[in-house]
Amino acid sequence: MNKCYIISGSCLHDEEADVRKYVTPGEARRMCRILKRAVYTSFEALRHSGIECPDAIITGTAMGCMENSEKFLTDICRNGEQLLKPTLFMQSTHNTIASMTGILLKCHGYNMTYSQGGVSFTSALLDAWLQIRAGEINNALVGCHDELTDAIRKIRHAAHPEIAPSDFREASAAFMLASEPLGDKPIEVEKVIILHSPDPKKLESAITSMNSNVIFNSDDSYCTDADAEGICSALETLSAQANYMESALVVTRAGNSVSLIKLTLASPCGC
Amino acid sequence: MKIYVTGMGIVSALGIGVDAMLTALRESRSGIGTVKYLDTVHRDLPAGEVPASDAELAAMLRAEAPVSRMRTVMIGAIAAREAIADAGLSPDVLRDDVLINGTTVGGMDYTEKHFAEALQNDFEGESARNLQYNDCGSATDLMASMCGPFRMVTTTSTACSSAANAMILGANMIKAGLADRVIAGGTEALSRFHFNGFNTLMILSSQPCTPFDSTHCGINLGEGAAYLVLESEESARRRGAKPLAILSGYGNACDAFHQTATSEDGEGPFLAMSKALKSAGLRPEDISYINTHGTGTPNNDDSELAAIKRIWPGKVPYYSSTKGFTAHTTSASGAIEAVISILALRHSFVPASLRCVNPTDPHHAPVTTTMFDIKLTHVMNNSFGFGGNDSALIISKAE
Repeated sequence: MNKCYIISGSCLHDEEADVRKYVTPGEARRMCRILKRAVYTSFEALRHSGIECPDAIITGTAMGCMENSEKFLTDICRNGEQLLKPTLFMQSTHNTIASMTGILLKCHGYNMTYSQGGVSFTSALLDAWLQIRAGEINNALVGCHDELTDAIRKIRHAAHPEIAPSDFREASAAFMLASEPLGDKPIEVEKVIILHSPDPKKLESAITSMNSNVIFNSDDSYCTDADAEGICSALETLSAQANYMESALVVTRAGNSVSLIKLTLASPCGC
Repeated sequence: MKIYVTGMGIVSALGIGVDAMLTALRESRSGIGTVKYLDTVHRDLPAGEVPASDAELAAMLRAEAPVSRMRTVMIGAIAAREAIADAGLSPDVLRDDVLINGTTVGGMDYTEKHFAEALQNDFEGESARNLQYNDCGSATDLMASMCGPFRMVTTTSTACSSAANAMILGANMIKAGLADRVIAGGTEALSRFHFNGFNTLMILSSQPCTPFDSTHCGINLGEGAAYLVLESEESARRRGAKPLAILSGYGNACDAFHQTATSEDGEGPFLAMSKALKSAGLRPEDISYINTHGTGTPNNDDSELAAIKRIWPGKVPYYSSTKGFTAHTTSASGAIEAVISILALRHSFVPASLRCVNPTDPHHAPVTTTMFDIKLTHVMNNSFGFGGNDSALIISKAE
């Protein structure tokens, strides 16, 4: 069985992305905000990996292209079911992000999108991880992208009254995974597990069995892409403190699901 | 490793349950008609609605709010329960199993009922709380609560290939030893959102659709849900479960051409079918029937047929689109048509491309009248989605 390494990555938090670094101004103009951020992080991760066309493009998104969906719904409510804008609908489906990335890169490989709340990214990672380990693919671009609108901030605030609408975060992260390590501090994705409504004892034993010396806990109260945020901080910490930290376990509690991702610092030769 | 199908369930315009589907297919009876339940002004557009109101569906499930107002969740739960029972499983053994649900407007059907009110109240207070089930994952979660509990739940969302892709992840998880059993498929109820969305693209037909006929001019949207219980050969043997069919191959590829159109030469469909053949270890001539994506738009039908002719340059296998029966059930279509393919395999018939009178390509015509007593061994099942998310499954007769 092959191993699966994270060989590059790019994480954005709430900032805007200058996507014109990678696409023409015309293409950029036609992209909604989530697409701009997604394309930016994806192309950054690709550039650092040295891979031009990945074998697979797999995306997780909890809410999808929210801004366009909301505009289309608003138009229906305000103007009725006539004279609606096709582009809003075309760029409203969740798979817009992964398929647009495929179109821009002219990549005909495996292309997939997951939408399972705060474990959307873990679902995408699980797919890439199992296919790389099985030797079905050699590498994969795995991302997680979401955008917040004013309405979504208010809706989330209604569910979490203790958090101010402006304090919710949106994440956009992309990673290149490959069967061959890259660089002098290779990080292996050792295990990916998603559990649905686990009973506390089962969860505890699953965490213990992962045998990791550092645990990063995250939940989806501030950010729907809690698992992606967790991975970003785990990777930063692992890379920075590589001398004495051997592994990290990212535990994300989101809705009814809990995801466990174990990252291990591998030796540079991959042995 | 063999992936067995040990159970299946389905809800569509042809009724609730596998038997209703089989009867309609045998009688060449279409479920496409005028809109009855969807709240839309576009009454002139035919559709394939599940013949039951939300209240009737809720009664069948004994569902309470909010599920009783979530059509996508309800038809999904009914179909998944049928699949689970068909496989001889009881809810208590599902604790080790995985549910993978394909949906795109899951949550939207509910959201759009409350959106106008929320908009009026500027998304404050109670009106905002009504929108908390607005995402696909929440819809799957609620569905899981009606059928489970499951060990793991996730949602694929690749537009019209969502259900096919759910089965691909499920099969890959079983092959990797990460699960013994996966309940995989998809659900999609009609929503005003996507009904209008497709309408803005001007690809909806004002007449019952005619895939592969020279008059083909668009899609009829439908709704439905279907699930297969995928199981490792070993697990099925251990509990003495008989396979209905075998999921012997699958392929997923990206057309990488356009957000809503397919390339002329059907590169994505060609790659998806080629990958499926390779993963099944089969040659093109081993395929006895292709259940096409066949939406009824000239763009889809022509590029799909172009891709088929690239793989079968000589004689094309029997092929048909069953969207003339069910309408286009979008995210659910991959699973709906997988169930149809299994019925065709098990009952030795090839369902017709309804209303195809003058085929677009007379030399490579689809099956226009249902053929009975036809022994099928391997069926190719195509699902193509927006953005060129193309997938193909190969379902084979259980020996």
